[in-house]
Amino acid sequence: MSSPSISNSSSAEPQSKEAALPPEVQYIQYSHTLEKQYLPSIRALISKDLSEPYSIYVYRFFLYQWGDLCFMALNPTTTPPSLLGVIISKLEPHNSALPSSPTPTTQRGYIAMLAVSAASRNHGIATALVQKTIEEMRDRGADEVVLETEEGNGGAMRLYERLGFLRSKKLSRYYLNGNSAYRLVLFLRGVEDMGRDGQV
Amino acid sequence: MHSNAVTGVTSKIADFDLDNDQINLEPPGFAAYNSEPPPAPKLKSAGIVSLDITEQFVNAAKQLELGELVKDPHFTLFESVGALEIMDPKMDSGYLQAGETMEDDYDFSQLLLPEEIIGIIDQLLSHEMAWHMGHPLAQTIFTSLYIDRILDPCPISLEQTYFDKSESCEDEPLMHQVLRAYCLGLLKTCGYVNQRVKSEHYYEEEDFVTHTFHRSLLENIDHELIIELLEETIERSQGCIGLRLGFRASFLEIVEAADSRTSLEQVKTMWTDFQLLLPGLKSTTKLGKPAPTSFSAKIQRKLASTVPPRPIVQVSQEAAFDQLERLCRDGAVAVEVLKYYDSHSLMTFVSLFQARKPQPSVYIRTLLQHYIFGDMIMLGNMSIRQVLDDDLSTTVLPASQLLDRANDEVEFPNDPRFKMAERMELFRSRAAGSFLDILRTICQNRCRIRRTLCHTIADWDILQLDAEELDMQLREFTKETPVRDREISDEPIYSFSLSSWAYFYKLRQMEWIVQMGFELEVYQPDELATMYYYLQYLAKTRSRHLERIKGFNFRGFNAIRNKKTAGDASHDEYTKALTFVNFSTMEAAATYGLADSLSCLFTVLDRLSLIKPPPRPYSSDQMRYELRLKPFLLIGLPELIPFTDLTNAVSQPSESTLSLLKYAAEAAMAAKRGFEVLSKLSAQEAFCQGSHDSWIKNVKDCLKACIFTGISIATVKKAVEGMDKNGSKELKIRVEIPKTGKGYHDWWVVPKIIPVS
Repeated sequence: MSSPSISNSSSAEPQSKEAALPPEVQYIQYSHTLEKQYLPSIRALISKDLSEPYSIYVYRFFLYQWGDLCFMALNPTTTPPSLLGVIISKLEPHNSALPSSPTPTTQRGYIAMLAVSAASRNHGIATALVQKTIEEMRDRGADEVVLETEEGNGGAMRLYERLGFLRSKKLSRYYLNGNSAYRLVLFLRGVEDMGRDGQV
Repeated sequence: MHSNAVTGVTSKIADFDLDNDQINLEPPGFAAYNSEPPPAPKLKSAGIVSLDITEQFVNAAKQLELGELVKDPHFTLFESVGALEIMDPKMDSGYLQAGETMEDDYDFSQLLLPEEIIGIIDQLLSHEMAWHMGHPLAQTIFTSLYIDRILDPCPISLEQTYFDKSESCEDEPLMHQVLRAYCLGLLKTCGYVNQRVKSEHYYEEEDFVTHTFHRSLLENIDHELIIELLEETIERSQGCIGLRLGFRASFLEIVEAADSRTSLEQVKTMWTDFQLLLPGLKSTTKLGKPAPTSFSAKIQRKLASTVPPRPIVQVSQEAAFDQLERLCRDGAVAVEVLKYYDSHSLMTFVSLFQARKPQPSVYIRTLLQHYIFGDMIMLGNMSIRQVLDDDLSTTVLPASQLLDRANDEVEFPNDPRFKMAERMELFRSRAAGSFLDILRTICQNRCRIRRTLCHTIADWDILQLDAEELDMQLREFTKETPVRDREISDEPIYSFSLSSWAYFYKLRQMEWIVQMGFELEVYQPDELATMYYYLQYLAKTRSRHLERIKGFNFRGFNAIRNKKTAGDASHDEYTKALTFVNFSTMEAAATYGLADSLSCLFTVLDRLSLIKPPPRPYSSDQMRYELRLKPFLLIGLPELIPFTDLTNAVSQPSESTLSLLKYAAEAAMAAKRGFEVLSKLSAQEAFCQGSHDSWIKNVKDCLKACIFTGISIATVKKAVEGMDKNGSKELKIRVEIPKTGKGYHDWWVVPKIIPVS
């Protein structure tokens, strides 16, 4: 495995129709100055579905380098606005391990974490967060977007597949709990155009 | 979180040579009580002068803002995932909850009741099977305090294994001896299993955890001594305790004997006899009394690991026995691979064995690899060349002078036979690895089979080209006379035997890539029409290619048939190759028939909006085409079907829905006849010697899928006709796509058509 992976969006999809959302969910792009205010709630929201938490360094690894690929869904009716959902990603050149790959080097976006609080699910927040991320990645020259999701997580799989992702492979016993995953991939450009003008 | 990272880092840290005294003398959780930093550890490495930079570091750190990250380019996600936070109970292995002690306080001199012994033994068996299922020793067997007592400190003789360190042979209570003998047998068994898995190709953590956390699995204690202790204890025991000791002795004997590649029948009998012991064990587990205090998650703190204790893995007795029974059944079958018939039967054996549901466990899969490839000797007594030549002979080179061993003896460099031997050796050195990799690949877990094939398929494309080069050189020496057939081409037609062979296997593997995609549920419902179309394209290409091979084989056969001198051997070789080519052609025809039928059926379901594609605002059909066919994009032959051609071929816009259904029904019918013929072939004719029963079952499952496809087609047709007749706009059917394992065959996703009122 070229890089370790991060469990994705086990809580992306609705389970219950809960309390009504505020009329307008506010989506904001993360930046380093927001760390003090939001990092604790980001960690709390994401850790909820993990058997073992990520260290602070994992969050900082992403947020410090790709803060603008992190989006938060906030409830503007509370003071301070409370966190309803969050998505964390990175975008880097990716070199294929295969010399014969049709896509030897790509600008690869990677969605690492996605979570929406249980009470706010089923309102399209996760979808909106993913869309903002894809658009930001596309603007920054991404050739493709990839992620992994647990095989049993039908909700997350439907969310990504509705947007255009395909399952490219199945990864056996990928997670600590022994469950398998699918690698989901979205090509944003044709293979011919990949790796040409990506910004780093 | 993905677990690989942490363990990887863990073992790295464990290897780091620090001055232990300085680190471990501090009480646990010192940081909370002591504001003074501990003295710097002394690095014991020659030529390195250590320098305390704590102050400079602290000063530099103060310049940073909270959350600012300073890292070099080599600090990757992998490293950040491996980082720990001290004093976080889920990350800090030394963190203790209020009142928690570092170690367990267990009295090893306490006497145990027989029912407690049964309870502990049966719990250990569950843990052993959990380990076989892929959980680490640290969360299974190593959670037993008795096991820990034996392994720490590492014993080098049986005398060092008493639970109560004041005990000796004379005064060890019988129940302690029983448990000790069982534990020793268990650990030794695990030692053999671990060794086997580690020696073969497997994926650490994904398939199995061989990590022993720096503990020995009794490598220092002689097998015979443990068996003797078990036997001696059996003599002093009775009832279900004796049964358990006997079970352990047999298990240990099997894993020791199973490595042998010369005692097929004996190993097979051992597995089947061993399996007979299981019902007795199973029916008496209820007599056991659980002894939960003799297991502890805390022991993990003593193991070479930096992560906090993880929960003890709980596998039910029932699941454990299931696993064990399968181990026995699969073990008894796996060893049969040693009976070699021909290379194609070998390949069939391995692929059918690996397709068993559930897939055989990692230990058995690695045993199978050992049987096939151990010490680079095929099946214990054949060279790789023998198997490869056998395969070439039964496919493209029957009775060929190229495979004549006498060529090797020719020493005159200008002799064509010398040149042939030389070129063939070059070919073998190039092809043998790729050929054996096919076998090695199908020994992996199902996901890895597809992933690996997607990677290696490009090598076969290159191999085919390289072989083509050799084919052209070789025909100078063989004086091959080309076929001249103006109907096909104005050019002379040569056999290109070696590249033909490579092309054949490339096509097979491309088919498997597509088929494994169905099994692993990689495709979305609206992709099925295209993927079955691609499968029929590949199978049809294989069938045409086989026609070509067949033509050349026939030509050679006719040439020798009338010659008396050729002898029986070449006659047999031709017959065998022709039979194989014939068989593979039939198999390809049945495959493309059913694939064609399903492709049309899915196209109809797409047209009728019974399968609805997702909106996919960020993607286009063309980009998904490239993503889906990525493994094939750069393959030279067979040519990639261009996007628009593929789209048209699949959607067939000029055909009416009813005519598509008619065509689908005919194709399913033809495939059905094909599978029926296949199901009547003998083991020799179907090249499945050694696995005929599984092969027949597989063909019959395909046959059922065919029949079911016919029914689905008929149901859709009726609904469409009904709609036309009534002028209604409502189709009174809906579609269900069966999950893998729920249909008749995982490679044939047959949609279920359900009438709705």
